[in-house]
Amino acid sequence: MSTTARTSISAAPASAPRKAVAVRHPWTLGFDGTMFGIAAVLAGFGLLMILSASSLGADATFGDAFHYVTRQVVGLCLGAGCALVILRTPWTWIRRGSWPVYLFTLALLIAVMSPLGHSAKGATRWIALGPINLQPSELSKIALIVILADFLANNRGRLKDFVGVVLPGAGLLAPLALLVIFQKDFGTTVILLGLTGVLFFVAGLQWRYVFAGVGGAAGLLALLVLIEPYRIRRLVSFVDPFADPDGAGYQVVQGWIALATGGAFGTGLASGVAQRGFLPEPHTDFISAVIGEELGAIGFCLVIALQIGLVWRAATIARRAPDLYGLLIAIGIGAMFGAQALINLGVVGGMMPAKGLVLPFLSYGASAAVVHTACVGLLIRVGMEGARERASAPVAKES
Amino acid sequence: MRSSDRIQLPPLEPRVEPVEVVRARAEGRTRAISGLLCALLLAVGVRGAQLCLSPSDQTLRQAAVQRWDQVTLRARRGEVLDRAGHRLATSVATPNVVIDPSRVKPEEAPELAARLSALIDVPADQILSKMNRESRYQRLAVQVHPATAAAVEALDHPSLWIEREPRRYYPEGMLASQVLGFVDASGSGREGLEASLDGMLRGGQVLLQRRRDRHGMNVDDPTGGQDLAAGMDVHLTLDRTVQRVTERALEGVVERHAPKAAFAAVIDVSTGDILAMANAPTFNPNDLGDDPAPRKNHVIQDAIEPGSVFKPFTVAAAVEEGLVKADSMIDCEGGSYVIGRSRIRDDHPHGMITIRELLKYSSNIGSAKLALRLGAETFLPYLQAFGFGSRLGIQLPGERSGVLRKPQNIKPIELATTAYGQGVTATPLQLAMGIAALGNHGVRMKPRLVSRVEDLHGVPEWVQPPTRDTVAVSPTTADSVVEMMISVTEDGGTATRARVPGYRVAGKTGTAQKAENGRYGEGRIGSFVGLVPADDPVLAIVVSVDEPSMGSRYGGIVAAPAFAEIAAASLRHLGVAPDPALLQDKAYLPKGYVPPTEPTEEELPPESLDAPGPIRLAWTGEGWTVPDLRGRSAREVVAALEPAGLSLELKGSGTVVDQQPPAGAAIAPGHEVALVLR
Repeated sequence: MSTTARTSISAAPASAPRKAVAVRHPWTLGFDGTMFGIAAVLAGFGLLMILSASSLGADATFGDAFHYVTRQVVGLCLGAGCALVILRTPWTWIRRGSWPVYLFTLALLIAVMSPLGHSAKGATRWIALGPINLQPSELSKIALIVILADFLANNRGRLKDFVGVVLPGAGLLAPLALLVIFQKDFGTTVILLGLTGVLFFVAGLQWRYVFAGVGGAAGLLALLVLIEPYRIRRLVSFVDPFADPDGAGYQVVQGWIALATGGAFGTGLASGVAQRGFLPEPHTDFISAVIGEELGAIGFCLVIALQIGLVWRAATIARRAPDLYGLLIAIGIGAMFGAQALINLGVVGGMMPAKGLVLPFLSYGASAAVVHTACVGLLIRVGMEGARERASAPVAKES
Repeated sequence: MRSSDRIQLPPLEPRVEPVEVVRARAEGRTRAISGLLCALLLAVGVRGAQLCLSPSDQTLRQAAVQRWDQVTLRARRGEVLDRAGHRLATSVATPNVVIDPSRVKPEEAPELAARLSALIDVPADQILSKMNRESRYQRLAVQVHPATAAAVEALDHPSLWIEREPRRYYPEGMLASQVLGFVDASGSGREGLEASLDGMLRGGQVLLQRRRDRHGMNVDDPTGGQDLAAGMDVHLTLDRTVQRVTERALEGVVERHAPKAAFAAVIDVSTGDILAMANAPTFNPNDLGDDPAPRKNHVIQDAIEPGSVFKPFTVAAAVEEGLVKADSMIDCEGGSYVIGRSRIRDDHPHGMITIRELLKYSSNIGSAKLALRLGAETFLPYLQAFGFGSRLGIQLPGERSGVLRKPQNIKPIELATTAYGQGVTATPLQLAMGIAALGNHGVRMKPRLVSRVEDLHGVPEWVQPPTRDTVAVSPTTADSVVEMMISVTEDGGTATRARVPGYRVAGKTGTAQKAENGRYGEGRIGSFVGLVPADDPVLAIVVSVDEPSMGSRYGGIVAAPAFAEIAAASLRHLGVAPDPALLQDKAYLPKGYVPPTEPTEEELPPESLDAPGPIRLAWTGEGWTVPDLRGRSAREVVAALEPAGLSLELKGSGTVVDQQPPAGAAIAPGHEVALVLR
């Protein structure tokens, strides 16, 4: 299949033959059913588990067992609306949207610091919009992906130019990262840095810069950890959560107890005890622990399988993308899903310090639900564009 | 496309790599990145599965510590039932109203408090102050009526719930309270049968692994499984109606004579069954007071000098030894007789009288002479055979043995006074059983209070049939003494007030001086023991009145009327037919007796006749068979169904008019019975 992809790329710049075999394709051509299926199953499974994990607490707090589920559904629907718009928008327009999305996100991140900002759990990360709280840091990841994909595609093949290309590209990251760090959203900062690395790497960054970047990132992380003492405690807690089971290691210990209780097949939906006050936010960061308790190792492995499917399918779409821009968008989104899942589950597994990142489609988070659903739409759009490309070009080749 | 604009330029600068190279590398690196991410996710998955399947000991320990708790639940306590199966003591899950203040929103608190106040009869400001406490558990009201609990549940507020606590309940209130005893807050039986049979009633303890949440609340409903070790049901020989009649008669004694105490026992002569054992004043075990005095069961816990009621035993011994017959003459010495250096007297002096008259006029001197002629070695074993001087062995705590001197160290004067009940002590139950032995043709039965003990499903665990203890005297002797005792209630006898219309009564009065600090004081105990019907005794009844302070102090006056009242109502209840000839015999009717136009049961509380008996649930092995509850009161239904683990939904008030499931249907414990009352 890679042969086809390469052929299509080489054919892409030649606009004349494409017009010669201009065929009208249905707009759904190349719609990636697998991608859609994985996302739909994840979203449905997520709703079920959010209901299971949050209904008791939501009923107690809001008098409405469906409080979180309703908001998640609203988020998914808004995201699906965005996805539909993306699917029907001409490819060139989407690419032109990169800068507006980037600037809009920056504006929102700044607005968080204004009186519009809403605090919860000791951090100001939300903008209060009536009943809904918008979390701009969720938007920052996709904003970074589209702006860097655009920039790197424009500078294709010129990544040896450190001063002219690499530095300005990294400069696009800087305002987003700084604003997110300002919100003490360490998890998202890591994701933003990682995504920048991935996009540069895939776009063709020289190995010495790759090594330098990885080394620099590690140094930066160490620095950040040193600046904020609470991160040290988190860091220590993941090495041995039982060193401080009532303090820094509390959540991880509770997660492990939940998983241990679940065993192979779990205790059954909504029967978990971890959510009864033991896990502070069972429906968000530690939803996988609830899944592990209620559905056991089977449920946990299903989560892993679906997340791997999401990443693998995004990578497949990337490799079949019509152009470097599409390829970068797709691998960027795939890496974002993968990294989020990895960090979220790594925290539960005690392999990483606690971060506060959602597990895509499974954790509750309305803003994340909007963004992630829209991202799946974007992935499918890239896949469709690749298929359209192949449907037009190989005909000429074969004839 | 923008990219193509630039790419289309020929690669003037060598730094710009060819499109194909860039694309190929990008696809390769995409593969690498995605592969790496998937591999890492797989590793995380393996880690998660490991945490699920083989958790560390530390995790398991922590889980056990914080999530599990062992609770010891008391199993359902057995019931105590009378001879007909009426519940005398049962266990009811009584509802408490509990609130979780953290779930009350401040703005709704005043209204909620007002609504609750109307339901549970607690001032609204008191409820409000509890709502404002930093707590997750506040009891608003304890032991509320089930209907109140239902109304609170109907409010359906997330902060409110009903907690059910098993509580001992005595449906008959004060009835036989000294026999039953009571249960303390910790569920241990105190006093009476509750104490002595605690081991059987209490049943086992159910050790439950309780899952709890962060706030210490139960995750699961831990009430199940309590039946596994349920306590045994105890069936008594007591007869609810006879007991009631006896207690009412004692109440009358208290009203008329204001004694320190009055007590009585009714014995079924042929079986030794205790049909009633009553004390006055009494107490309500459902609402314990602080005064321990009314809790004393004088019938077995008082060893008193019996006085003249002892004389029939002396006469029986003499007759059995062939010393005298009913019509043998004995010289009563004109009312004064010297033994050694002591002098004994009769209240009413007589000369030569028959043995029958000895009992009729209650001569101390005659009795003493009989005992002296018998001698200690002969006389005292008879008294032992009648049950004196040792415990009878009844399943109640604190039974006294009384004191009967040994033949080898008794002085003649002591032997003489023992013959008429002084210098000897006995419990009222010993007197009743002794008299019952005379009525039972000389065979003394063991007193029987507990007939059988059954488990939850009605399988007997322990059965006590009527048991003969000793043969005290021959049937001929016994029958002749009973015949002699009839004279006591005949004209000129000491107990004409003991007459029962339609039945001949054999009895004996007694008025004993109370010994205080080794000397006889002013206090008297007036007693009457009797057998009815005298021709073929069914009941032996003892009535004692301790220190009557109003009216007379003589047993023939203070105790005999109560005896007559108890005997009349009990005999009719037990279906012992009266002798029609006696009903016409003006000479034997009590003074002022008007023959009833038709035999009525007015002596009995009306409910005891009309009541269709207690609600009985039949266990089918898997569930209960629902009884027909129509016409029952809410109280009856609750008392019967709640202990069986059935929950109730009551609508309306009054008596049951409709039930779901219908009568005869099967229902498993834990399910609900819906009732409509009107």
